[in-house]
Amino acid sequence: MSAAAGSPPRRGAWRALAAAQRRFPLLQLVLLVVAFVVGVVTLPGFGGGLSVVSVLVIAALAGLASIGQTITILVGGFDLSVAGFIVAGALLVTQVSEQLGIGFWGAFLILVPGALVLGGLVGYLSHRFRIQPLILTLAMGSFALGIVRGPSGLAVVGQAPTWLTGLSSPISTTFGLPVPPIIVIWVLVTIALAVFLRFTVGGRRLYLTGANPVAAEYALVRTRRVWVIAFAFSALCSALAGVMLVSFSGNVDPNLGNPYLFISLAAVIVGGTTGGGPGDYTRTVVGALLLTMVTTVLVGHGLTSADQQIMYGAVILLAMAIYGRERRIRDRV
Amino acid sequence: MPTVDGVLLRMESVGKAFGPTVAVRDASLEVHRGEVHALMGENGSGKSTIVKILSGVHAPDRGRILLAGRAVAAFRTPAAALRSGIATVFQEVLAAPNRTVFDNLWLGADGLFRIAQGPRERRRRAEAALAELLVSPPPLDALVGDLDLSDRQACAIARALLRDPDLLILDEATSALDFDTRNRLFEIVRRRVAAGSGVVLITHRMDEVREVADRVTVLRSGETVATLDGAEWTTAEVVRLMTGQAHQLGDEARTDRARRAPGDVVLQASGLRVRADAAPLDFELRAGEIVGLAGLEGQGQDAFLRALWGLGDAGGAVTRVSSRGRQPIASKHAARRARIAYVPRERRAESIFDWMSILENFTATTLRRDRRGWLLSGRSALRRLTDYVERLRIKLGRPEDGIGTLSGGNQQKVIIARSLAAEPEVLLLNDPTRGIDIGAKRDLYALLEGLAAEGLAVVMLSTELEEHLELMDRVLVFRDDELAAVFPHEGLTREALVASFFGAEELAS
Repeated sequence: MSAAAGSPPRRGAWRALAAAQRRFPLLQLVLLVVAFVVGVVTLPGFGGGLSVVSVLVIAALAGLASIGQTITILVGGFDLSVAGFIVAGALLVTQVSEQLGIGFWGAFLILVPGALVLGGLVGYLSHRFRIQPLILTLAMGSFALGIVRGPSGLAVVGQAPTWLTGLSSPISTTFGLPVPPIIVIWVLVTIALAVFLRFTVGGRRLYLTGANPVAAEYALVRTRRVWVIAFAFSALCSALAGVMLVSFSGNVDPNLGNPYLFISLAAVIVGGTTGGGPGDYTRTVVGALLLTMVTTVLVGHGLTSADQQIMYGAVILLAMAIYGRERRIRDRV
Repeated sequence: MPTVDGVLLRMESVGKAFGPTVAVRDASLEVHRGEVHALMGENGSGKSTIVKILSGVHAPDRGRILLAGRAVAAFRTPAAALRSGIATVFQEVLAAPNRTVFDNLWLGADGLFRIAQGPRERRRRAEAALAELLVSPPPLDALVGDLDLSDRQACAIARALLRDPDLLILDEATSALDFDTRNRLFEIVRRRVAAGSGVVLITHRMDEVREVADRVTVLRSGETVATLDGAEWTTAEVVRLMTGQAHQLGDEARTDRARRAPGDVVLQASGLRVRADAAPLDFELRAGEIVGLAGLEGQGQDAFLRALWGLGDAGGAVTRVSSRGRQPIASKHAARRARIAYVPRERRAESIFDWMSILENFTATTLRRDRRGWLLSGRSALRRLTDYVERLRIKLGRPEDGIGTLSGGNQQKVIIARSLAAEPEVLLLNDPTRGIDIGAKRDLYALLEGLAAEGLAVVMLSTELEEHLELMDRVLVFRDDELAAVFPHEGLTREALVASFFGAEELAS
């Protein structure tokens, strides 16, 4: 039953490292530093301030788009509606708000409850009728996108308000700090989520539900409620990430969200969070940073977007092979 | 397969262990052609494991199996056992509920690319098999999930009969059948054995053994104790053989605490049904009482215990009586508000959060008690755990260590501490000592007796006879989803208890 008895004898230092890795994404941080150093050495100007800020902005976008994925994976689910809600959110605050003449904040007031309701519905349906969230989220993502595209008609081109683009422009500042607001937002969100997951009743119930849904029910955790809230929150986070993406790219097209489905999965998995836990959002942050750093360095060396897709796929496979294996082995002993 | 000596099946010194748990120690069994052979034993005696070895579910660790004189190493798969001529009907009704009766009857009869007979022939044989068993057989195109329990069980039996096995094993397969169907089954069984095949019968009903069995093999703690001829055995003798000597707790574990007069009624069940068509039962639990639930596996005691926690769905009412008034218990959340706690049966599946820490496992149901403002206080959780570590004698390294670092017994103590942390006035335990070591068991008995002395009311399902004999103030015996007998502590014997499991109450007095 004990992990120590089951594993073959190893050297002390090696075992200490393995134990540390289980608690903290050590390996990922080391790789992050290695990737950065390689970039600085091989690419001129890579270590410069603006370049670093740019990488951080891209990582922040990836990280913010991965919040919902992290939460749904921790409760033992999956969220494939990320891309759909990103584009829905992005369209809503640009084109739709323009067409309906409700302004950014009017659109925002539709976006928040809309995403919560649709996401919550997925959580409810998949829990109540035991349907794979994989299928339901995929369906709901395209459903949400369809609703938003309805009023916007055929031409899907939206423009971001100018103040919004300031959020994530690498040259903008936040209250005098030389970083754009999106990075500050990411840091604050990361801290808030870390505190929520680790130190609140709600966060603990989320972990209990993911770790063993049957035992959680016996421990009087209302797992359906947890499931509904997790998926509602996830949809909201994706829609808000869409708003951030608008601010970054300045305009919207229906394929805006596509890469983020795989980026969010890859960030969570590379960070070392496994289905139903253990894991947390800080791991996803490290995962997003690592992925962005490696991609940026490789793009600097001529990596194409097709190569990137191959890389994300390979990374997910590799990480699943490593973490999936460890977890199962410990569980079976 | 003609054999010289008429022996159809011979098991010699078969043993099987699951990890450290020895399920079958040394079992031998000989089934002749032309006989119905009953296999008897109390819970944990190894009956089910033997059946599973014979039907290819488990491979034995040692011993020999001879089928019609030929040695069989082991049946690798249930299909292999079936091909060798052994068909088994299990206690849990195994069927595909979303398929038709016809599909279920022929389930598994085909190879991947090979179909044995044509569909018309199959329908004819299926109809014949059902008509033989049932007075009014269901249509072949009905979904099995829509049938009642008795008809579903009949389908499972018909499925085995269609294979025309040399050896038919009925593992508690008669309990769900209605009276007519059971009689018809026994007719078929007699006809089959008269034609030279063999039948192994496992049942919790002594009258069925008496009615149809030619010989009886008795198991105790995974060993064959005796095989008796139908002409010579008596119920009393079989019960004596099944119970044997007290061997698990040993004398030093005997506590014989001073039994006090129980306090006020704290929990009432009235007209409670364990199954919709079973007889209703009334039950009152008093403060300071420890009540045992006993019976062979799956006789309704589990459903009764869960009903007391608000998970009953077959009718009747459970009411909590306290100084706060009368509270109906219709859900587990209502039960919690009424200070009723429940410890589930399957530790690994229903209790443990396996990658989480000891502390996190402990606080799962009482998180709010550690809330300071918005946040959880680790110090508060630690302080609460420390109390129980001492009272339950939990042996742990650091509370932050994974729950998996603990032994099974200590894990169970943490789970019980989790329930006690909610400060219940009624504690429901579902076989809490199963699979834990003797030291942990004793700690748990001492704890329960201490808590009962303080006024906690306890209902505990147990599969161990000794626990009923020594710990309980009262023992409720379940049979066929109904309350079969109630025993007070005074004068309760192993023999009386086991006799009542098998419906032989006349021995109880």
